[in-house]
Amino acid sequence: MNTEFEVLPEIFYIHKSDHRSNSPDKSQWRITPDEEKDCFTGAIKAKWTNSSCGWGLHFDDTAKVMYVGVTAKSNPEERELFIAKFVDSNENSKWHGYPADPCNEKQQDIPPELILNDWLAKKYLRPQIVRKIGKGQKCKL
Amino acid sequence: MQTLKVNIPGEYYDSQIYDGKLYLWQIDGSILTLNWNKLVKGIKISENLRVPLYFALIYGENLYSNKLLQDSDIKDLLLYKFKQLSDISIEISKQDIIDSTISQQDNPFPFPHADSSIHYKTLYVGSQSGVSSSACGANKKESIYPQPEKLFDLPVASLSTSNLTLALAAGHEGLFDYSLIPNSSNSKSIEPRCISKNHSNLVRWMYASLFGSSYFNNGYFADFKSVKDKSKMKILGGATNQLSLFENTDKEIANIEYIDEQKNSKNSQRQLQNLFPSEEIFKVDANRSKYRFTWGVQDKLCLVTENSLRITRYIPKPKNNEQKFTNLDSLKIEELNNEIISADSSFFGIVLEQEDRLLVVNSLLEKKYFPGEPVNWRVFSKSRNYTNQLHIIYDNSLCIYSFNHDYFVNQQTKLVGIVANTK
Repeated sequence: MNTEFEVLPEIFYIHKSDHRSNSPDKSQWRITPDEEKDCFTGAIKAKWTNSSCGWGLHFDDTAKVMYVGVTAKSNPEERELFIAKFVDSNENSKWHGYPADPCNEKQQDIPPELILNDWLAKKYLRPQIVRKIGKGQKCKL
Repeated sequence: MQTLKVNIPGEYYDSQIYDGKLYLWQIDGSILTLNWNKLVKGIKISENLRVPLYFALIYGENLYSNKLLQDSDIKDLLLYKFKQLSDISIEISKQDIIDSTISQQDNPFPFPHADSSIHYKTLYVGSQSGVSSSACGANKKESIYPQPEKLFDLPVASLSTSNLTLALAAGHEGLFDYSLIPNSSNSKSIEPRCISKNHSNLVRWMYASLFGSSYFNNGYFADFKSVKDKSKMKILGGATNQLSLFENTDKEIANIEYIDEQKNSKNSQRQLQNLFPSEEIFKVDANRSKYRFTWGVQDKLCLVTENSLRITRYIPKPKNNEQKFTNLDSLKIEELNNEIISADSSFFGIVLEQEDRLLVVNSLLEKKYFPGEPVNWRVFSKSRNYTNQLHIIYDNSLCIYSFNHDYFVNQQTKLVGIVANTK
């Protein structure tokens, strides 16, 4: 069951159940639904979103970036994922998200340079990781 | 393994070396251009090692075809001196960097990029937002012309330049190339040409052909044939238009090089003949063999499995009894206990990137690990004078390793590393 919350005025976030149900073709969250929501509001506040797409990171109490989930079971190998991708396909302020895999075959989960540059400048991600994300290479935190 | 190490302090993201200049992308978003020749000539070193130092860092090409090395006394002396050099680690000071700085400028390209390359005094930078180019090396205030030209929007993970052509690995979009030679209307290609729709995230040239590497297939060889195209003989200058914006006469040098390449390539056009999956080349069953990574550069294709490196020689124009692909020996590498992130080849050997280290296997079949997860690294197999260099960027410095053994290796029989032209 997908549940919808108003996380900011007139901005809604929907928890998609298939990213928590071990659906074989979907990456799976390992953070709690509340943390998922916080990750989204953090992305909005940091301006890591445009009208239909956004990118988020999940931090621990010491502002260290943490993993958010794992690759889909259908993936040839299981890997931990640390980038959240948010989409508002209909551009009606109803967003949902999933753990993004920059190394997946379709490379749709590589954030644009502006976002990566911000993460690099703020030292959220090491330059080693940023380089590997941009090239679609396998990487770990 | 004998290597000379030059350590340049600073926080960098990428490096290129071309025509006596070292280009450094700094983490803060600026590009620092150093006068490499001046930097090297300022290194304090014993005078009896100065000439080999220059060969090691500035004039790499000269030794492959140098007839003096046919004299065994001279050869032995140079080998001895390279051995002495390899015992030295050269630390460049911040003052040395300041003294050899040509320019420091804002980075006019998308950043952080996926890949970069310099070809005929033009810098190409590729990223998720496409590929841009800008003239470089001509202006003293800003070494890179500050208004790049956006060539196209295709997102690229890897690019490589040769034959006045950009080769592009575009992930799930496939493998592409893009001609830098103006067409009859004196403009460059509009869009890149798709060579294969198979996934590719690393591309390298093998003479006029290409090899696309991928995590999602076993890699493939795109076989090209060069055919003469007289229509190109009349068109000159378009690829260097941007240089006219610069003040000095380097424009003329670039134009001369450009004309030379046209002459050298006999005004040829590359025509795709066939695509060979690497299973076919290496004669292995893709379903049974657990591949790690395949790649190809110039005359050698490499396949790394869990514990071995297999090498196949490629001959672009086989004669009489020769075959296009010949499987050579395998080399055991038992220490490969985790996965390969990427790989590349140069004349001195091959480089394998793993999660937390690089492994170099040189043309003497010696192995050396470079521990630590690099920010970035690259070799310069397409350059004239820097084919012996491996650049590894770590958190607080760029380490330039100069490999100087390959000048003394039989190029025709060597198993690992690209064959050098010794004529």
